[in-house]
Amino acid sequence: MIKRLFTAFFVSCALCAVGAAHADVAAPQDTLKTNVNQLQKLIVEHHKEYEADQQAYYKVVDQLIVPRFDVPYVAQLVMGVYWRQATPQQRKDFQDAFKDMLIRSYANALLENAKTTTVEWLPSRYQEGAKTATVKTLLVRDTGQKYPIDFAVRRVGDDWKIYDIIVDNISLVLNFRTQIAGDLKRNGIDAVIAKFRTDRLPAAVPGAPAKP
Amino acid sequence: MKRLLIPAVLAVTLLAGCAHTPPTDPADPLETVNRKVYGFNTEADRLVMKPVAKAYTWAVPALARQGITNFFANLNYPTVVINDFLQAKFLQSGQDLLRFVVNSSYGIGGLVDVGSNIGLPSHDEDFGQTFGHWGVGPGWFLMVPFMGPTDNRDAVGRAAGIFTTPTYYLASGYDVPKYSVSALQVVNLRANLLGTDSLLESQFDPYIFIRTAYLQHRRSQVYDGNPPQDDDLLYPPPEDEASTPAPAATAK
Repeated sequence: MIKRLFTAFFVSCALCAVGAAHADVAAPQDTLKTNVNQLQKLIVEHHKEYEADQQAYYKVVDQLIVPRFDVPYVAQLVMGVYWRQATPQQRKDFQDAFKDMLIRSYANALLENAKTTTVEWLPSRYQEGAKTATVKTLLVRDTGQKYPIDFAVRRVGDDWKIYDIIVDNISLVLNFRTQIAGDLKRNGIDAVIAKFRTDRLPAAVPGAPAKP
Repeated sequence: MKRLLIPAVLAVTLLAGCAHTPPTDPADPLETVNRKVYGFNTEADRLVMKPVAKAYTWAVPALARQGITNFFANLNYPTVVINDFLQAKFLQSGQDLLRFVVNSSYGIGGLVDVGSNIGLPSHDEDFGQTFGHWGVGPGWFLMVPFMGPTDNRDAVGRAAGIFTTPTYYLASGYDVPKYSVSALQVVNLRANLLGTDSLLESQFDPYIFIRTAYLQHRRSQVYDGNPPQDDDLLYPPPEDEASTPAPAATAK
């Protein structure tokens, strides 16, 4: 179960690359499809360079993948009830820190798995004019393992942006919200932002409570 | 039969007390102990299981490992057939029985997954899901030494599942093959998880991550992949003024 979740999430990030801005509203599935192909191609072509220069690779991820996400909305969802208490500055800092933390945590995994994984696009229901949609995919590893991944997307202007990734029915937004809820309550928003900023996540002592 | 009476009464009592709580706010009264066990498991894994699994991946080719994974999935299949039945999914139970027979014979004891190619896809059912199907909640979240996450309901389910696994019925003279098979199963399982380690290590709070993911996943399994979702709770409407700057910054 956990294996599925993790591997799937690695690779799912690969799906979220962004291309050029779209003139009219395409079906959400097509939007994502274009971007995925672009990113996968890029990683396959530049694999060695990205491996050698981590910072440059992070930059590529930041430019390609991040804009496909509705970062402000994701931040709002992840902060949950604490979003309302946050000042505009805190909201912005939280978004940036959370985003950078995710890049640091997942970009390398993405690099490792992009070559060995293909994406199957499943029929996704999408009603013309709808504000939200779900794009269903199946990630197939070269070992034959399959992971169902859904992308929850919403219309922002005339573009589609991802606000949640659902791996085997596990919502990552919900999971993150639960992970940080205790910390937000005990230590406050600034402490959590600071924690996001400390390089990688504090997993040096596995299983240690997230208490100070 | 008398031998089974006490465990059975215990199980029923335990199941009756299983509360319904959402994965985001589960009953975890043993969190302090659970976290210690989790720390222990992680350390045991680092020192023993992970190196063993790495050696196994190195020594055994991918195709063979795939066969071994198939074999254990098939070995587990009587449990699936029985639980299809116990959840009143009679058609699926029949299909799964056929799948088990086909994979055990044409699939050479389960090494090859023939069934999936002839319209008999694999299903995922167990006793914990059956309890859930009939309305039993997960109860407390538990972290078990060496075995990892579970909850009250699934712990009882797993215990029941022991009796529907064929290896349990190997005669007492076959202890060596019995334990070798179990060991191989564990190593193979761990090897399949190797690619995911760095992700777990980079979680904000790995314990909560595992807990939420486990409970969400089990809930989804109970509902066969379509759990009722309270979207208003999960996705409160966006504050649009907060979201508007994003597309402007994107449109390059």
